[in-house]
Amino acid sequence: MKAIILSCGLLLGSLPALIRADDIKLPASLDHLAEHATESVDVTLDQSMLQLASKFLSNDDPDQVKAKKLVGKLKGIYVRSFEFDKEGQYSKADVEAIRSQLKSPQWSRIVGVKSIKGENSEVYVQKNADQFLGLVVIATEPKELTIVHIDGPISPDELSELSGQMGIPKIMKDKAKSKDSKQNEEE
Amino acid sequence: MTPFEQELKRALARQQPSADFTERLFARIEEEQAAAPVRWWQRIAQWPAQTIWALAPVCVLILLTSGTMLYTQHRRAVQGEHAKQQLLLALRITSNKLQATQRQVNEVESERQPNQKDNIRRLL
Repeated sequence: MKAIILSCGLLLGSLPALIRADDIKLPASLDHLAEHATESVDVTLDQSMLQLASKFLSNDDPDQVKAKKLVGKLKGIYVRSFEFDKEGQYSKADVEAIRSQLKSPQWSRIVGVKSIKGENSEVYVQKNADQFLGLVVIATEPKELTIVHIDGPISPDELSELSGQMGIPKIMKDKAKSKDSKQNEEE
Repeated sequence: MTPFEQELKRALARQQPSADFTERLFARIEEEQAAAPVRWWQRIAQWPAQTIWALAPVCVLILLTSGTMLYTQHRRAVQGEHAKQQLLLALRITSNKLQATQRQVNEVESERQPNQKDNIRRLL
């Protein structure tokens, strides 16, 4: 009996760690890219910072009202964006470090586009029933690399609602319906 | 001199104050001063020096606490404004990248449609 209680306790104790195992970690190698970049953006907003930020969003601006509603449920927003003056400043390994984390069954790639110009985009979502629990966007260009990770429940409708100044298109809504239909479309 | 001028002259003629005027004036001033409310700082000024020195640390503590609170509030406001700007920037970048992705998908679809039409024509 004691063994059962002990194992249950251990299981419950390790539950948060198991949940965290699904978290996406932006590799430290990305930070080094900033040294070679002409422009770089590093946004790291955890839940507490998001809550703080949402308090400062305007109640008069409709876009900010929507943003406030959106970020209220989120656990974090992480953005790394780099612009370089010449090509080949980042390696495939930098991107692969993210991509490999998205191979778990919870994550599915809903859009993957490759162009001849080298402008490639991938959109991954973490799904649970009808709800998205996370979103990752990997956009690569010869002289540009952008990685966006939105951690937390977010519905396609909420994303499309931010279509004003934020300009988030309805892509997520459309693509979610035809999940995986576009997957590997251009590969 | 008209009767009006005479009346005016009489009215404006110099008169000596009564003998007890000065006494009555000072008495009135003292009365008013006694009746005036004592201000809070006047009361504090009347406190004994020991009480004032005993309260000095309390006043300093209150000032320090309120100063710290104001500074913390200001710092939090700065942090909040910075976080807001970061959030808006993050959402804008996300938006731009999703829009670019959508544009690319649309381009692929528009390129594919004529090809599909050609295939159908060939089949027919």
